[in-house]
Amino acid sequence: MTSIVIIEDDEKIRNYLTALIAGSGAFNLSGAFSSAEEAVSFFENGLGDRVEIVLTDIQLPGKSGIDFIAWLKPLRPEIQFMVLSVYDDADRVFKALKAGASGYILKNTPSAKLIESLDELRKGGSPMSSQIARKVVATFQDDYIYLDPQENLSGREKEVLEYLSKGFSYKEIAATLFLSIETVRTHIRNIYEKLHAHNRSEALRKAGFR
Amino acid sequence: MKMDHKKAKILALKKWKTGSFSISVFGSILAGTNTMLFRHFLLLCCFSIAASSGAQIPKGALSLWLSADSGVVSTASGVQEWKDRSGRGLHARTITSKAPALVPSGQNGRPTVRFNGVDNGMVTPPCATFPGKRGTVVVVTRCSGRSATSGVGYNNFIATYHGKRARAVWQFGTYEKNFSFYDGIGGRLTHAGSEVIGEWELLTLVRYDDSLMCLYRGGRRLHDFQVADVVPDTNSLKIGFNGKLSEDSIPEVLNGEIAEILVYDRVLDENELALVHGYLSQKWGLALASPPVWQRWWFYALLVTATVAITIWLTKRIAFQKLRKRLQKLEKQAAVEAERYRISRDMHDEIGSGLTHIALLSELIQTQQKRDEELQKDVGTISASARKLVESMSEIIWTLNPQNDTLENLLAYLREQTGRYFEPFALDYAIQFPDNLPPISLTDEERRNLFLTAKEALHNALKHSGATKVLLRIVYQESRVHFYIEDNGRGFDKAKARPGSNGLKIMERRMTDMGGGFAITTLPTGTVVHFYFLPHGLRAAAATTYFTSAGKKH
Repeated sequence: MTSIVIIEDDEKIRNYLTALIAGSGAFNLSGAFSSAEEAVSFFENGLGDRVEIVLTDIQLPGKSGIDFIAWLKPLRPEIQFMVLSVYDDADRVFKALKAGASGYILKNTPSAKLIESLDELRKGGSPMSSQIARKVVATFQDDYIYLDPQENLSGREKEVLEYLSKGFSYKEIAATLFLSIETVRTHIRNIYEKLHAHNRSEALRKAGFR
Repeated sequence: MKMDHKKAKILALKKWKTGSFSISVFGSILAGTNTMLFRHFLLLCCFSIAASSGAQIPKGALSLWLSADSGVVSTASGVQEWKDRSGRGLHARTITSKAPALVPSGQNGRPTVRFNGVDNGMVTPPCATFPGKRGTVVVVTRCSGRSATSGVGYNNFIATYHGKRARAVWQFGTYEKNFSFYDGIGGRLTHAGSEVIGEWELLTLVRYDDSLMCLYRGGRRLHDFQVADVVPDTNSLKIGFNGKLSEDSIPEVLNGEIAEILVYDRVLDENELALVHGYLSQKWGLALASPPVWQRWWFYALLVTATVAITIWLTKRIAFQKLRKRLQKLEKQAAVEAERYRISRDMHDEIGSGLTHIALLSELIQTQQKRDEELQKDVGTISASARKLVESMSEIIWTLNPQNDTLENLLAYLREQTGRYFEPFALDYAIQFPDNLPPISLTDEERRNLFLTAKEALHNALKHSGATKVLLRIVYQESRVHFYIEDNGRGFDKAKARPGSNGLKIMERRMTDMGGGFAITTLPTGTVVHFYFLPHGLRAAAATTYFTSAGKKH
């Protein structure tokens, strides 16, 4: 059973998600919080050591979901973060992805699909829309020369990103590049990891440490 | 002291004259070199002076030239004859008992002829003066005081006057304070100069036409005046008085000196006058009157500087205004975009989350109320419509977002949405977009129209055609972007479809509203929906409509 934590300030939705996850049989709900601060103290007290997935809203009272991800990701790099958003809202979602999230899910996603997405995340799948892909491309293009090789995208990853930014689905990309869908997913997961690493080193650079 | 300065100036100008004077003044302005500019302006206004130092006076139509430094025949009793150097042989002879005196070093080290103001006078042989009512008379003279032989103290320099009964004769002289020309009938000049007694004067009279004359003093044009329109007769010229010294004439003898007299039977132009004036001023050591303000070099420099400055200022102002207009346009555009962004945000945050709430809660009710099927169905409908609303709002927000203002973005979004749309169905779909589209920006209206039209066509293919294959194809051709939605379905009867379905009409209107076109070809074996548009940035380049130029009708 995969251990999961939810951060959602709306009580009704939180209850709905709680019921949904508890009833799925595949996940073990370790905690449901209404604010990032509650979740922070949960992890600081060592209660979240076995958590594998965090599902968080972006807009929260006090610290935002993005702040929370940025705080926890360096401490617990193995945790997968999933963002809950009202829409496929590229701006806000992308900020969260940069901070360390590997996926996002729309709040109006039907219940079955929601569990499916969480399951995919656990297995290494990470959704990326064309708009997000464009932003990722732009991010890596902006300060390309400063990048470490380990933060740099491979040729294949660049190809996958390019097709994504043109609106191709995973299936279409897999067919075009003669890859399996799993491989495409892996590439996307790797792109996310490099984006996170890039984001952290960029933050350090801006703070003057490099 | 004053003269040395003058000479130095003339000398300097002379040097310049030999330098480059080939480029026009305007050319040098354009060339923009400051020193050249300055030089040319100095040259422009002083050219005449510089040129006159050539010591050559014009000889054409020179009919009398008396110069006191040569050709004066003087005896112990005074000047007997004053030889004409013009070549016409109008030598002046003393006809009075007392002869004028030769003053050996009268002015500037040269001799002059002095008339006593009482009983001196010289005459030339008869000649025509101002023939054709045109001519020029130049005199270098000095008046010492009132003439004893004139009731009004008139001093004659040169005249043809010979008695009160005579007509059409003239006299040129001076009162104590006024230069004067009298045409013998009534037309006269009395120009109030400054104190004219005791100073050497360079005076010039020009008769331009039948009645207009002009007086120059020290080379500077002083005064225009009218004279009677009569042809002067042929008469002898009187020097230093105005007639025979007899009972019925008033001699009005000059109380003063004459250094030089020049008479031309034609009008000298400005350059020739400048030559004469320059020659005489140098010869007799007379300062030329400084040219009027508008002829000074600094005035020209100022004028040109001002013109250039104004031109630059105007150009800059126009450019600035253009810039400001563009800026205002951009600001307006930015404001519109900001507003669009705000609206999409507000929709997103307020309505969107509310709808999501509805969708989720109805889902929750559905899962909790498993026994009541009727309720489950109703709540399922609420959930579905809330999701659909969220979806369409998502699209609206997408079209409102100014960041998506390119065709490239639209196509990516369209591809993504199409994939999402067709994924759940057992139907082959393919998308063919050109690889290299030029960067085309779209207005939000264009984006919305294109997206919704394409979506409607795809929806029809999926829901109504019964097709197993759908192709979304985009072709860029002749500045137009063409969309083709092709299916292998059963087609439909346009005549029957039209009145019932609003969809086709709306699609067509969406495209024609934005200056594009819309056409459907439907057969029992399949349907092609074709629409195109001209991106607003390329409209001027290709104004003809595609369908009419291709001979089809839509």
